[in-house]
Amino acid sequence: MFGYVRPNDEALTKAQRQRFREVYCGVCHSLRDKVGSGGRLILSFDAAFLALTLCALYEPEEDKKRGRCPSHPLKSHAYVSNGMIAYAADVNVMLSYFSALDAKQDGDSRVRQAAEGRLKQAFEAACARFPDKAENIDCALKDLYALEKSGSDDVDALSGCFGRVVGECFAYSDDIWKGDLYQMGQDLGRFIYIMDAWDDVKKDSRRGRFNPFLKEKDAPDFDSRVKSMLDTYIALSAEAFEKLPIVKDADIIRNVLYSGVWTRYAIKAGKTDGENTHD
Amino acid sequence: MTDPYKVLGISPGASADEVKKAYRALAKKNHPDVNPSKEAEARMKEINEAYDMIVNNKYDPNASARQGAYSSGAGGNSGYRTTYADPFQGFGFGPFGGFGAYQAYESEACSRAREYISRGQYREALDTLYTDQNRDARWFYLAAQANEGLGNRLNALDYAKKAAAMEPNNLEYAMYVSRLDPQAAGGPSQNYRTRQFMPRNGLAGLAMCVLANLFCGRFGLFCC
Repeated sequence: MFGYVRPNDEALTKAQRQRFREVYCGVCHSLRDKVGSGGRLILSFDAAFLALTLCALYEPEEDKKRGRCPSHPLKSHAYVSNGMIAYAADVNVMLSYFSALDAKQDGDSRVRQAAEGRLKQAFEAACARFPDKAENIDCALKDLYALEKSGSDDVDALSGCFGRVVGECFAYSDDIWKGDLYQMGQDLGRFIYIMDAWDDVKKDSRRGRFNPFLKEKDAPDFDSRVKSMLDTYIALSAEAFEKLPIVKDADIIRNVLYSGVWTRYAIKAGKTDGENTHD
Repeated sequence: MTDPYKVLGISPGASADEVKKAYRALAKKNHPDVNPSKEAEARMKEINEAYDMIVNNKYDPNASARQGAYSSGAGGNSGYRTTYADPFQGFGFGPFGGFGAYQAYESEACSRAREYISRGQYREALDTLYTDQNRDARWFYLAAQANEGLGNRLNALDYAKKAAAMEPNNLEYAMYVSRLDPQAAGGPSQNYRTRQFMPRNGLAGLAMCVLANLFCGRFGLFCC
């Protein structure tokens, strides 16, 4: 489900790439503080994007640091630290933990299940900091799982549940920006869900797993119909973003929303045959 | 109504980025953390309202009586889209003119649903509609509006198209379809398309994905 919300690296300037990386590494360092060394395994581009967006809107003080880590053992790199980065890390923890719980129930992915033990402590700490968010996210995910169990093919109902999850993550605080942040997150969440379902439909079909597109996947216009759904929601998410008074790092955020989110789609839709690997 | 452009100190032709920069510059000066005075607080409220008016297209320099109804300029920007952004929509615009003309053709469930929709209670509206087995054009039109209110744009467009197909001469339904259609001129999808640019899908892109998965966690940036 995660990893679609990423930059189009090629189209970023060197300075923009460095900026994204220092936020991305910032979330990673925060995750390590919270979860331990396994923190870097759950790190997602999505959480970094969230951190970048919130930092761009609220422009909090940023603590610039340098350090090394197992992934970058030779050269020290810059990373930033502040409340929004820590919040994005908390969000990352919450979503990873819920995902691990879901994997446990489905009886699949032992790696994800193993993560549950280490994550649990960090998860409980995150929920203590943001109890209302944790509850709303949990509620939305429960609604989603119920719909999936019932075999629903109502893409709007399904993606809407995941939309609530991401909307909740983006609506950082109860202020005048809550509405637009929530809307940006909600429509982005819908986009992610639909993209993930489209991406996984062949694999899910082979493994007998739920997917809202199982019946439609062989239709000749399947790709273009899904593209139209994706277009609808990413456009609405971008529209909500453009209402926020964001100036700093706006170009990086736009790179993600107007281009980067299509990375997987461009690769897969560009292929004519052969196995696509993902995950 | 105050001119929001004057409040932000910009010209009416200012670009979106200029509006945002102007807002931020003023917010920096008047933020309660920076300036805790009562004057700054009132000014901040005015600045927020001005920004909201510009960004949400609520300002009409030729304001008339109908304008007053929805440009209350209340400080908060709810951001939640409603079905009534267009003042004519839902008010019986069409060949019959008055709203009252529709009521004779409306089932009880549709009437109750319409009331729920006008109050923003979209879930209740849908629940009510689903008790009605008689699915005429009006039913689909209201179901579309309720779905739109819930953010279900795909269902909304589907239902709107069904309503328009059942009553092809209904201008209100046709206009609603064209507003929801992602191909609509001037809509969010068209604005998006002017700024969208696809990543390259060649081997470079695939290689990046594979490399990225090897380092820095599951979907990391590779070292360099």
